[in-house]
Amino acid sequence: MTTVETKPLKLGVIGIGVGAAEMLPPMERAPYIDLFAGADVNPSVRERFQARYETARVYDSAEALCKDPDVEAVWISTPNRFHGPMTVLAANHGKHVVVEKPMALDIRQAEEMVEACDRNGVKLVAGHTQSFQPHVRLMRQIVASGQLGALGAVNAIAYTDWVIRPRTADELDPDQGGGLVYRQTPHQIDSIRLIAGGKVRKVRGAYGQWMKYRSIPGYYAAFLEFENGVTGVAIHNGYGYFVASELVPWGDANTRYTPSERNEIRKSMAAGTRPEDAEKLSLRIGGEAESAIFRRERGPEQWKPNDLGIVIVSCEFGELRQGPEGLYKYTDDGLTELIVDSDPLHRDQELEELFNAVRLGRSVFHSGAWGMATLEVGLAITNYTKTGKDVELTHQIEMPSEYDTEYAVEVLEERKIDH
Amino acid sequence: MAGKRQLGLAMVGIGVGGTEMLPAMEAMPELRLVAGCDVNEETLNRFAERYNAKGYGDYDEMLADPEVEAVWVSTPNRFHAEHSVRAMEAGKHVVVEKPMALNMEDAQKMVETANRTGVKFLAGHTRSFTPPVRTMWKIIQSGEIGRARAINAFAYTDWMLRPRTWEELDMAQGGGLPMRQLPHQIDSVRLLGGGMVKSVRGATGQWMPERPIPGYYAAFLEFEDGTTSLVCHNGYGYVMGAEFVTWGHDRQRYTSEERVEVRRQMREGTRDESEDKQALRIGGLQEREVFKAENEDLWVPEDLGLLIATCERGDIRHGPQGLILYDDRGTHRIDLAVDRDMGPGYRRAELEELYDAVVEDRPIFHTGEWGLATLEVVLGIIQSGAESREIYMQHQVPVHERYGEARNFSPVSV
Repeated sequence: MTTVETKPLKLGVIGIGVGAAEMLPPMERAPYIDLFAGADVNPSVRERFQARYETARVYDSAEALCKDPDVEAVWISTPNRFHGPMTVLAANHGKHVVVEKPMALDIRQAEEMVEACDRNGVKLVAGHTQSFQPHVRLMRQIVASGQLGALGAVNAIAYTDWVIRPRTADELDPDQGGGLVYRQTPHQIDSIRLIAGGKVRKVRGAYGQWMKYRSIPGYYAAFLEFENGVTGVAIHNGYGYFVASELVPWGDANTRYTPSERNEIRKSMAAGTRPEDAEKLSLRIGGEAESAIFRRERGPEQWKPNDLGIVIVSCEFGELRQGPEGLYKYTDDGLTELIVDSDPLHRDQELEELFNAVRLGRSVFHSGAWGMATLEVGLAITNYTKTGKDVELTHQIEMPSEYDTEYAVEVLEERKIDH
Repeated sequence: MAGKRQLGLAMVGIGVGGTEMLPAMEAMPELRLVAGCDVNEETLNRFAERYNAKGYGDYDEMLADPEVEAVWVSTPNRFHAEHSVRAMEAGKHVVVEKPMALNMEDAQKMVETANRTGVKFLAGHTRSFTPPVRTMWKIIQSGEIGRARAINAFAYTDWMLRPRTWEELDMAQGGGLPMRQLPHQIDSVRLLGGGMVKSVRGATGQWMPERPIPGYYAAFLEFEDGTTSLVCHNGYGYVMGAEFVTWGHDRQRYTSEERVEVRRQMREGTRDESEDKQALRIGGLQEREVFKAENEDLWVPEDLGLLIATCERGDIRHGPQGLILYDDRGTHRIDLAVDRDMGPGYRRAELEELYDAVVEDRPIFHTGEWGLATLEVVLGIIQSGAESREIYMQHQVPVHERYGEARNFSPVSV
């Protein structure tokens, strides 16, 4: 029997791009989600969506979807420049919202989003960053438990092939939210903030842009200082020569592509022969490459350094980093591996947070205000690069300690590692 | 080395740092260790016996010895400036270990003394002399993969668990990870980035109750030309950088089990650190631990860390036997071990630089001015953390224009 309180949320997906394609499998599985509707401007995407979800309502605009009175909540995965306006639109129609990263292009837009959701009494989750991953949440939980003593530093180091993945025109325009800083700092900054508490005092960093065929930043590095004295380092090099997946014994030189694929892609970009639109479409729902990348039915697989990178958490009496199936915990007694559920199909924590907020009246933790604080740090890195000036951070907030009790990560197994 | 004359070298301060250099000194026939000076009589006797050299308890007496042409200064950090200046005033050439001094005033005095007396003065003993770093420089210089844009170094080591003397546990005496380890990374990234650091932002971290010194730092550097650099070093010995190579392991100075044991002893206050330290010095039971790389031909991340130089059209990083170069053609391993072992022998480079300057009248590349610029960055990072702000540099110098002429640059065999 389904009571009102546990009835699945009727969810509409706005913008069925590559980001959304990644989320559809977890949405299908989540017991508290009814994948109810979808909207996209691309007719072939709409057709494929309808073919897969026969009973779903399909719309050709966000506006039409938002006017559907049966839709309760929306997942906004449009191009970045629409995140703000679509959130406001959905809120004004009384829909709860999960917005993908980056939540907005600037702080003003983010503030409008928060204001619109508050005014309409709907919930807003700033979602789709890797801070929702069980690895990261468990890191925070262990730090918060105090078992390793005071936290000292949180470092995230990513070397990926992000820059040479297929891109649409708007993704190659920094003014529309394109580039590595807008699109990738949310993963690292959200995660570092989550682990370190949340309130960044200062950030000094820069982006870099040096690939002839990509008019967007493909590199950034930043040093963060938190109010509580913790420091952080965030680095992402997306140019895809050296990739950090090589740095774990169970890894390889592949991220999205293999090394030889990367060379071929670079050659075709230099020759101007790369069919990038077709490549992009094939990654979307129903596309040929979709199964290779997003619809992994292979179940849990070993973690390898990805877009979030290698995260190392350093505390007074021990350290944490990702292992193949969970975390490595280093303490004064040696090394333990903590196994967690890392099935990509279970990547639905932001939906769980939304559902619990809407149906059970619980708090949204990855709130608009939380997302705005993460956005602010990324914007400061960009601003520092352009102006050489420090930006005062004024929107930083803490993650409440209730997060750890309400969203505790279950450790499935602890294995002592003998050397 | 027929035809080459021998240079008479003396060492002052025959500690663990000095001991690390001895195999490289032994390996160079054109050098002769003629004298040593140390306050520890046992150490001094072991040294004098092994090298058939003169042992001096008094530094001035050693400086009066006409056989001593050059002095290797590896005394505790607070003496680096004084011992260098005294040697230079006595007409001796000097190599000073890192950090060259504790403050800018002392470093400037060293530079002035070198310039006034005309002796050769080399700010040495950083990892920037190692074949992988020098070869990275050479590849960047070649322009084959474009300009350097980002140079990052990440070190996770057991540095804080190694035995320490009291002065090494005192920041005011030049103790702590930042003063002692930043010179490796800064000297190396400055070399690869061209030398001219514009500003630094960073912090030190200190969180082991048994160690009253920082054991962590992280810093962001920007060069005049916009190249950036991120360096960090965590010396607390939990996660080890050596785990991050597929051919690696989690052992550095200590094995994982040894680190657990060392920490237990430190927490319980039962560790005899001075005995541990003495064992690492010349003739000590664990001397081979310091010399140990003689049997290891595969590089693993150590105190310099994993160094990744990103250029416009490729990356270069440390590899198992030298470097790995990634470019538009693919991935290439560059074997540097064919030319010279990756163990203690790599430290010959600074000795060669000294010898060639003194005997062959070639340039010193790691000059006092160069070392002073590295020290400025090191001190800037510490200041940046203390004051929570960006620090701008004023004493930077570029890489020597003839650096490519340094002897024995490892050939690049891809």
